[in-house]
Amino acid sequence: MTFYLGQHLFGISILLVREINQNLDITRVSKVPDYIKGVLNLRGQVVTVMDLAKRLDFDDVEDSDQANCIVLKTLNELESNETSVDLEDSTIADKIGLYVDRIGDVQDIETSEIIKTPTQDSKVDKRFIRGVVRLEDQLLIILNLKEVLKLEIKGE
Amino acid sequence: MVDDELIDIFIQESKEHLDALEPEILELENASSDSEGVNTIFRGVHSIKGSSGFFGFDQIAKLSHVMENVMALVREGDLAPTKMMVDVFLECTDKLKLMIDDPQNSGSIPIDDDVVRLEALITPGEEGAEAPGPKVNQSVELPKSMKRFVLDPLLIKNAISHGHLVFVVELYMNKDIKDHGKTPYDYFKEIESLGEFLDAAFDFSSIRGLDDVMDTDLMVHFLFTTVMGSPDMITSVFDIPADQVEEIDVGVLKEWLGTDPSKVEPESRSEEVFLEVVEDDAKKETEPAIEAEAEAPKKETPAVVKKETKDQQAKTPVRTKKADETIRVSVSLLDDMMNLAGEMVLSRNQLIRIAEKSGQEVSGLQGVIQNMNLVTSEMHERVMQTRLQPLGIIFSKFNRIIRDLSNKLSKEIKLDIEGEDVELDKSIIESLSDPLTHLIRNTADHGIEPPDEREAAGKPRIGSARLTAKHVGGQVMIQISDDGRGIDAEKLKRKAIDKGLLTPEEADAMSERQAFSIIFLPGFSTAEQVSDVSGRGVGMDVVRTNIEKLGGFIDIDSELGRGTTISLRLPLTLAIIPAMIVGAGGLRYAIPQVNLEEVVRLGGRNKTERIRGTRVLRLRDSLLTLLDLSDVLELENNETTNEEKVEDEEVEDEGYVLVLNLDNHQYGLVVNELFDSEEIAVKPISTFFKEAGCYSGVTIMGDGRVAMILDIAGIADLAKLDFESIENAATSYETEELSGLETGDSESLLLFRNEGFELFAINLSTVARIEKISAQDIENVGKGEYLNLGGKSIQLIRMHDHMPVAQPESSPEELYVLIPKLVRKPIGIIATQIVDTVQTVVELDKETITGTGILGSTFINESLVLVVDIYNLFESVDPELYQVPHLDDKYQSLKVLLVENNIFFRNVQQQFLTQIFGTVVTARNGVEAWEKLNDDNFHMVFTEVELSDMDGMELTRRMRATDKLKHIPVIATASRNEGVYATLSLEKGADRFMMKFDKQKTYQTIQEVFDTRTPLLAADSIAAE
Repeated sequence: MTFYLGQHLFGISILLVREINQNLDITRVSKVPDYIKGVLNLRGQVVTVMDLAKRLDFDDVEDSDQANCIVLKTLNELESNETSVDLEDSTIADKIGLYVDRIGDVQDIETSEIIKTPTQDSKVDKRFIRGVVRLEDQLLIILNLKEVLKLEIKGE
Repeated sequence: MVDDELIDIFIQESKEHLDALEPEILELENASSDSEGVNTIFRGVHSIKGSSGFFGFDQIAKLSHVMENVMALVREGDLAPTKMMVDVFLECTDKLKLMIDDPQNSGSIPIDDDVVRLEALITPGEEGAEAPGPKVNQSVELPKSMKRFVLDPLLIKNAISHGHLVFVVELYMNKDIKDHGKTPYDYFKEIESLGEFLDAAFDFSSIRGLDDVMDTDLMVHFLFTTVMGSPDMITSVFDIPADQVEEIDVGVLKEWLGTDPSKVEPESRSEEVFLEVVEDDAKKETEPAIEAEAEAPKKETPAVVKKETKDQQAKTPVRTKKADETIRVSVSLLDDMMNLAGEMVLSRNQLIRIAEKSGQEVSGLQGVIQNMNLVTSEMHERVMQTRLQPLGIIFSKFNRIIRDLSNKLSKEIKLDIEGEDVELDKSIIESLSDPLTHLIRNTADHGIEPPDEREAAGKPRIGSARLTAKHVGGQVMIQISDDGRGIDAEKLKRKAIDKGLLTPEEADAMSERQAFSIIFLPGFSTAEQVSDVSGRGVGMDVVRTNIEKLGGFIDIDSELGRGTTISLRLPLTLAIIPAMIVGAGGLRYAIPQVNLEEVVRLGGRNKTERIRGTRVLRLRDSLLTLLDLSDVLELENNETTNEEKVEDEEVEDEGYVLVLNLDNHQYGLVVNELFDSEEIAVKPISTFFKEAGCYSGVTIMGDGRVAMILDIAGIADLAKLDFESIENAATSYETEELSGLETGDSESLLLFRNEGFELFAINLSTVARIEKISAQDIENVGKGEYLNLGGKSIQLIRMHDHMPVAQPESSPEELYVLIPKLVRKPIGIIATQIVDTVQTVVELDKETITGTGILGSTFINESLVLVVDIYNLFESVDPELYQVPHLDDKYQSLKVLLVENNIFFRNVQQQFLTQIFGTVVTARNGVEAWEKLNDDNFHMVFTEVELSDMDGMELTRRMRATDKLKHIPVIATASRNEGVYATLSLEKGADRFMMKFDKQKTYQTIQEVFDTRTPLLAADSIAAE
């Protein structure tokens, strides 16, 4: 599953994705980390929406009307689904949605294609990156969701 | 091996039995004759024995068997329950619990000791003696099928003598038990309803012949006796093939038992008996159905309790009928149902909202929606009920805890429990268990004194603790009280100071009740010695946090030497709560209704003020600290509020104030908008939001938007609202405002006119009553006018006769008489019109208008008002009576302190005292007085008894406890003649108590006091010692 933040292409395993949502009626919540955009109502479930660009400290974003919310599966959903048990990456128990600029395509990537050492000049903090994949025309950054979703306790 | 599912059920059911019988074991000590209780224990261990036999858990079976033997003797009255027995039984129950937790490994737990101790109970005298019972004739060959059982000759003998037949039945785990949707317990119960269960054996090697399709099915054999006449009946009851039932020849058994067959009358087994049993069963089937309706279906009670044999039921009245007709539903399913019901409520809300707009267009829609509305509410309520559980579930274990603790601490404690049937949501019940245990332990450990100490204090040796639960206005109140030593507020304060949790100043300013809440401060433990029972100082703050997490409150009250009461208030359920939806900074938030006291609209009369940077609202008599929600949450103010911000002051008084209740404190939350009150379904918040500390949950509102649920305590924390200091500031502010007439202040005034046009005001607190009279009622005697009021003649005065005010042109027929209080002789003031009573800020102008009886003038609602000094007025009316005594100037060198919170009284008193003493210093409240006393030297103190913060009695008490101040004479004064004040203030060390405003008496009192005590300055007094 790929998506764009600005012109950069990012990817996560599609097995972690529950759905893509265009209802962006997000309720702001104050007193929370700034990368938390707010909450939204997904058919009666409250989803916490994370502004991925802010989370990755990524300022190269575009104001597009194609913004989307990638709703991730919860840890529970992952565990009850056998096919995703042996995934390297995982999510957390909360319902989280990732707010991204634009949705890309679904691409088949072989695990072997992922280059583990990220390039040094990456704009993104290394710990959030699982690896990169060289596609024909550009670089696909595979995110380490476990790190991305990790909550930093204040004062750390 | 054996199906895990069945074992799970075994574990669950056995635990229920144990839970049910534990309280009964404790009861044994108290009421040994209660055969119902004994039966419950007996049946409980019996059931466990039976079903553990099914699975081949021999150790469990063995232990429960011996327990059963002991109980059988108790039941027959052959053995009296002793403390020893209770101890052993409790230990065995624990052991059983341990084994049942992991039955597969139960064999590894040693039980020999317990068995020996149990057996010792039966035959305390004889060593190693066997359980009494008939000797068996070993030479008799029993049928092969009986050999696998452990036979209890006593039971068999009993059964046979009652005309029972003996059967061996084979059951297959899968075919007969599981496929029939039953549990081993169900069979067990069926057997028990037919006769007496003797033993069960689990046959590992029992693999049937090749003709059996289910040849891997495991088989259980069990032996039981019944009044049923033929194997056919058994097969039909158990729904098993006839070849699985074998009847044992009673004759052989009798021989085996060695009894004389002629003595046993097998014919006593008559059709009659059989019918009765059937009838009994039929009754059982109808009764529980009705009960199940009434009681919550979730109520889990051991069904075995009900299966009494006929004669036992006749002997003892059945205590409580417990519901039989229940089904087991997993909690997660209930949780799902709860969530779905919540969703449904929300959908309904949305639907109603839509229907409001367009419902008229579709005919019939309104009716359907209305109906759905009702059904949904009803359904939701029922679903909630399924989650309700009686508090008894957790209360019952406290008997045990108290018992164990009293043994451990060598104390004698009696615990009374009330309200076990009060029901709360399962999740609340679960999270209550730990805090309550902690509180109960505290009570036993710290609250109740050792017996000797109690005796010395004149209390009964046995300390009593009470645990009660009851419904109070939509919430559940749980109280834990004891008659122990209580809490010493002063000691708490000292300790808190020692530990650096409080500054001495803070501690000083604390009321007793506030001091109790020190206990809840993190890192505070009151126990002088930390024991392993309680008192590591991490407890109480955790208790409070936990209770607050549940949306509850905790409060503590104590009387030194008398006992302590801790009260918890809890919501009935967590999942759906009524909440007020409010708006701030363009966002919506939900505030739980339980926290909400009232809503005040800002603007108009409800103006906010700032005191030392804190915004406050004057609400009736008190000041309410305000927090602006958008400030606290640092909400980006949207455009509209930005514009308003420019206008500053104006903005402040828009919106609403929610008066919120938090523990004993209140604060006001300012919001911009107020929406509806809605029932909201609380959803847990993501971990990302927990950090913020001000949200307790999240919900989806009727229109589908998300709103955060505010955590009232969290917001206060976030705003660093320190209630103690704010309340102090508020009090001192309140009194500060009263300082002097110039600064102006809020007073209750009665406005009236007296024939002329002038508007007069009199302090409402000086008026005893107002009478409406007619002009004809006034009698003229000599120059004076009098009124007969309740048999007494009261002199009346008209203001213009005594005061420099305009003469009236005419006098109306309808008159009012104001009768002041606190005067030597009542005099009525005639008024023609009572205008109003106002609570207003008085800016008294003492210069412009002066004269007899006039304290000053002020403007109220833009009219000039003359404020009357009635005491001065009366002096001029009746100079003889009110004659000021000749004042010596012998006290002119002395300096006194006058403590008085009411400005009028203070002024009047000060005026008078200044005539006697050289210097009169005033203080507006106890705290201020205390400061002045410490900073300055006085010869005498006059103090009002009723003061807002530290009252006059407390002030006196403190003075008497201070070396520097204990010699100063104190005269306590009051404006109300409450006998209790007199005694109390003298008790606390005041020299005199008197009513205010009696100048003569005041002077006399001063003289009396100084006649007995030489006036000394505080400084001199120390020197004089």
